[in-house]
Amino acid sequence: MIPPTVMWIKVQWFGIWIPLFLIWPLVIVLLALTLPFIFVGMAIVGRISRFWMVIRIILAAYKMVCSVRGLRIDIHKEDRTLEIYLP
Amino acid sequence: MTTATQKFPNTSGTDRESESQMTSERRQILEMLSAGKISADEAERLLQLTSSPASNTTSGPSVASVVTSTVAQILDPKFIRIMVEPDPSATGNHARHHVNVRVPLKIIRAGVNLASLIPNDAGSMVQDSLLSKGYKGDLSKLDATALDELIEALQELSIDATVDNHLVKVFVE
Repeated sequence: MIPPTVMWIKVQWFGIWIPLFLIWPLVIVLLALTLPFIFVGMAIVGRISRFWMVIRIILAAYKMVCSVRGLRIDIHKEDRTLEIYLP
Repeated sequence: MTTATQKFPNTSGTDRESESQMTSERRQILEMLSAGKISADEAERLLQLTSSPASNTTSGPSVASVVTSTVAQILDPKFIRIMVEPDPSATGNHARHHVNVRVPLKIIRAGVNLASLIPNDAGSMVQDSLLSKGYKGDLSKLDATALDELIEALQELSIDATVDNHLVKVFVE
């Protein structure tokens, strides 16, 4: 499973391809930096057993992001336009 | 002395094989239709595919592979599609909307998996919020089995409606 690498978004006349593949490494780094603090925090409050739940939620969220691939939204109303496409 | 094969090249072994393959494909399509796995329209589409002149050519993908992929697409849809277009027969100066939304069905499964991890306290808050918006279903009862049934039921979903001079179509593909 691979998350979407790019996203097309167009509002009115302005359209842009957003390079999501640049964002995912930052998210991974952010998670890697945050998880130890979450682990320590949960250990302090005595909820260390819930840490696996956090990991499961992160994995489920990752699957959710991956499943978004193929989503397409085109809405045109007279002079207003909204397009979102995740190939 | 010429043999029958030389006189009638179309009745060679390869062609007989191809004809036999087409017959088995037609039988497979008809069996799926009788079992209710595909609709009459889908069966017609597949039969046209097997009997089209292009299917007799040797170049490109074989008929079997095309039929198999089409059947797989019908039996295992990937997206739910919502389309709204102005009714061409309608008159008047109303706003003309064009909506084309394609949502992957995988999102439903992933969403339910994610929702199942929500703690009970937060889950009840979500449930209350949905109730206040008029949704009376119980999300906590939506498990993997119910989800499979839901996705299976969605395969037969096809809505054609006219709302405010617009044609609304909802179907899976």
